[in-house]
Amino acid sequence: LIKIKMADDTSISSTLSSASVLSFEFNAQDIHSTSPEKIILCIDLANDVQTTKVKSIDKGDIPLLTVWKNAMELFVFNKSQLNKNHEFGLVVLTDQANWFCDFNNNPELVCEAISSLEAVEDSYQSFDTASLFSLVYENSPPPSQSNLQIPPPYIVRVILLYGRSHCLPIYKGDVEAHGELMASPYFFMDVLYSHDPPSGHNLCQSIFDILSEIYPKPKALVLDWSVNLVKLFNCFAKLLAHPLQRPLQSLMDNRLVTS
Amino acid sequence: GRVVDVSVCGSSSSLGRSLHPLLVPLVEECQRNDTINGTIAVTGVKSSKLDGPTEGICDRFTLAVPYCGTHIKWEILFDRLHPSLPPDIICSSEDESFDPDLDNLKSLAEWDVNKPTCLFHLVEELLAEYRKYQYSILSAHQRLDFEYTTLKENNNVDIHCTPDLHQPTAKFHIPLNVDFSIFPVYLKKENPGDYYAALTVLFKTPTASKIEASVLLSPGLERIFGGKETIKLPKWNEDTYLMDYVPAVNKLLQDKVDYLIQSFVKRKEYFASLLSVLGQAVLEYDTESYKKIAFLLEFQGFSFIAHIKLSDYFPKDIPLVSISSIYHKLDEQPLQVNLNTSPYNHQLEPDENIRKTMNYIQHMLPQFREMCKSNGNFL
Repeated sequence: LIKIKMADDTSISSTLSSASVLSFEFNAQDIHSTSPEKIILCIDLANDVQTTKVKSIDKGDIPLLTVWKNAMELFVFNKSQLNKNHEFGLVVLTDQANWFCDFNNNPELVCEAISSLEAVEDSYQSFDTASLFSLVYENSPPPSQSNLQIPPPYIVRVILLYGRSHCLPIYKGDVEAHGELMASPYFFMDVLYSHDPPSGHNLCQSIFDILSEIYPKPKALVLDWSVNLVKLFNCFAKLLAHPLQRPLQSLMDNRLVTS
Repeated sequence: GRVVDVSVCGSSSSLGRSLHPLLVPLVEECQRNDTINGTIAVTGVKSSKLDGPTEGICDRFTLAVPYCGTHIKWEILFDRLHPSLPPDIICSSEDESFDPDLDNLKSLAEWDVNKPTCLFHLVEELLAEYRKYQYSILSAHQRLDFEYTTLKENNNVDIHCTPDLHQPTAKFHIPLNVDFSIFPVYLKKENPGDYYAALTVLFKTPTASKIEASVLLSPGLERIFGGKETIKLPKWNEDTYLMDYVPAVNKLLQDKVDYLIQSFVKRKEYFASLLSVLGQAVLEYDTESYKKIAFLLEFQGFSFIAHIKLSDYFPKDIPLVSISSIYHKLDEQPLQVNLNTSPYNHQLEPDENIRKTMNYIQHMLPQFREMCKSNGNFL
């Protein structure tokens, strides 16, 4: 069984404390200012997303990518309704990260691009996570901290949709982009790891361990999924929450409160 | 140095090019100075030279001087051959009997073309004479004289009479003294520009039995209030006097401004209450105008988004609640339903209202789920 692990290890947080200038203590009554988000959806297209199946009661087994696409479209429209100024960019993951669709705040156009995505035939030996940070830093760096505006003019959020059960994400190379992004209080990264049921025949636990530390900050949202159709949609809905305003993952509680 | 509006001044502007160079600073000062309840516009720039190019030798123009909610037009005639001499002035034909006492126009006697303010001072003095002229017509009517004299004690008033023997009318224009600086930032951002309000009262009879009153609002202000029609002026009776009526209108507008600010504060408070009850489920909320907030909620295994919208007139306008599906689409977009009759009672505490709303949502969920199943597309 995989437990969702929260990166609230104080030793990791303290080394980054000089970088996290904004306070993220969540007090339920506190009002935190919002900014438009530049959301980068990083969609894994390795063959796993075709072979991994989502089980549904009445529609049989559906390829993971098909459900991802559907849930992503709902995510984009729902998120755009929360603030028309949110923008969405698309990145596809093969053996490395590749830019697919530039930022756009029109949900219809973004969904058109999403619907055109197709899995590739290859499975890979590894995924180069450094390429993701380089790509993001080159194409969409977070706003500079020079004025320390609160709220910032926008924030950059990567949503990593990793779908492989046998391929480890490995950090190779460029340190600078990674360092710069991690040092910015306006850069965020959420992970939704979708995979086959973990077993001795796959690497799901190890992959999860790596992915849950890829953005080792208290504000990270790390979601883990396998098998259940409804739960996959629920994961995408959780990702709607704005990093500047949402509670820490361990404090999130969506139960309808009634008297 | 003085602050100059770059868009109209400077030797590169068309006015700067057309006018005789000695006159340019005089005209620029008229355009810049707004101490007379508005700004002067300069039009009809011409030259006394009738043929050939006129660049740099234009010596006559019309000044539109703000007065009584509109403008008086005075044609100013310099002589390009003797540009340092004071100008002649032609008034509009409507004001045939306006004949200012030249002894009162000191700037003519002390004319110094090298002083940029001399033309502006002349305009000020002419305006003072024009006021006296209008008053001389108005004061023939006792009631109107009383209105003007009593009003003038506490207000800036401009008057204009149409000396029609059969149907004389007198127009009073009173800028209103309302504090608009206290508007919340988001309102000012959405509605940029100056905020200016004035009351115009037209006396149809000298006995003040019949009047037409209206409020003049600058465009940004009109948008904020949602149109002039939203201002319901107090009733005018034969025993109403402007010295009471004007403060009543001032209060009316100030109350409207105060309500918008109160609403903003109340919305922020309501958001804080919502966050204290449901903060652990919050998705996002707007912190500029505090009008939109959304939560991801789950009940009996079914998750959905609850949107709460507050208007500029909350709590007079109750919150609007709508639910969106995170599973189902309708016409390619998330299926969404407005709950038009959600309970809200402004006499209750915010968290009581919030719990009532949550109970109501729970009550409506089975219907919503049924609608999603029958009308929505899933996968």
